Amino acid sequence: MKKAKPLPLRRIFLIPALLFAISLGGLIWALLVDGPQDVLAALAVGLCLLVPALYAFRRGG
Amino acid sequence: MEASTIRAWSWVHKWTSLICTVFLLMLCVTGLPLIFHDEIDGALNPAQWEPTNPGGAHLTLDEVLSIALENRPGEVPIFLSFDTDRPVVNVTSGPTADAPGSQMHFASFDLTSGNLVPPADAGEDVMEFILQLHTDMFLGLPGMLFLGLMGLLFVIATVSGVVLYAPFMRKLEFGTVRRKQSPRLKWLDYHNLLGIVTLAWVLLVGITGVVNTLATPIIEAWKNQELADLIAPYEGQPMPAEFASLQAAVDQAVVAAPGMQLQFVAFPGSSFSTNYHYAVFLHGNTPLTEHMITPVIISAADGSFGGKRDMPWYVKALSLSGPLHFGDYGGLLLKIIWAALDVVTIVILGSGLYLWLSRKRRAEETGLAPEAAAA
Repeated sequence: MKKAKPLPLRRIFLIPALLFAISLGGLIWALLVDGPQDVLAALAVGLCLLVPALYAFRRGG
Repeated sequence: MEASTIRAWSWVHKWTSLICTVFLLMLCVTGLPLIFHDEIDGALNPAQWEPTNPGGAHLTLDEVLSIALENRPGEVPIFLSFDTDRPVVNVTSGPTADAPGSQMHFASFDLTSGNLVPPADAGEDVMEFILQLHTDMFLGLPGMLFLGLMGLLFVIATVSGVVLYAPFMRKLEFGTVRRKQSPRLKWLDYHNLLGIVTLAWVLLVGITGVVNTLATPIIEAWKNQELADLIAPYEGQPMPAEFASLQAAVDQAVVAAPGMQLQFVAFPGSSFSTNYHYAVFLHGNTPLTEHMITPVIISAADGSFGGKRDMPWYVKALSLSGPLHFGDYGGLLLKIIWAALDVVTIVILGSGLYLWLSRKRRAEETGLAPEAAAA
């Protein structure tokens, strides 16, 4: 049986790091703006829940 | 990463998590209704009140204060605050200006007529109970500091979890959940996935929660340093027998702090002022600065300007930690997402507990050390 090759750190943390940056950006952006932009900021925060949900449903084991 | 390093981080992650989990679960559960505090208040207290003379001229603050004190003979004013969305001022009075909270009386008045505004306090007892449980578990400052320590452990557990994410995921693609294998592996994958994607929110809420638990020492430091410095020239001055016009003092403070809005006034002798001054607190009017307050002191003897001082960085940090912790600063959608993230955190905490218990049980069944049993 072929043994899986360890993934490089960059690959392990690429998507988590992007989600971290986007959701943190959304959390701070919401503090700086008012009105419709609040919705965009909230969606940026919510992305951290949407992306893993899509991945988890697509993959599985 | 070497095996010994992984073991060390695992030890940190396990014990910091285990110690704080029960308290974090309590904080997550009590935090949920607090996110929707405004909506719950609004639903329980439908806005039926209208000013007596909508669009009419406002009474002066001195007139409103006089009416308020007529209703409370023998009492003195302590604080006066302003509603942002209706012409209402709230007067806090008590037997003395430094009376404890339990002896204070709070009443709201219509600025257009001086009439009493009925309190909108349905459900307030329940929300106050939840808030106090969340803030200090009814233990005052020791309770707050204890929860701050639990918050700090939670932040360390989160950081150690990120460190451990790499060795756990070195052969798994992002988002993998091994649902068809053992329940333990499935929940391990969910724990790792949910933990890593909610990292920004969890760290923000965790760190701001710790800062909030330091509110009392931070405010004390501000009073002992910045406020003491501002009022030093007036130290030892007696409380005036008669106070100068409150309205004139507030008007002067507004002129001294252009672009800011009134938040509240602390009367001479109260905990946020001196024996000699009105302390008028104003806040900014942008989404960011509305959480930050600036005090202006006005002599209560002759109405002269006493000084203005911006808050130091540590009070500004505390001011921003409130909204950043409770999520009530970015509209309803952000609150809903905040609540979802809160629920996800409960799942992460619960799954972590399950993983520890299942590992322990497996070790007992096999007679191996937990580390070996988990291998």
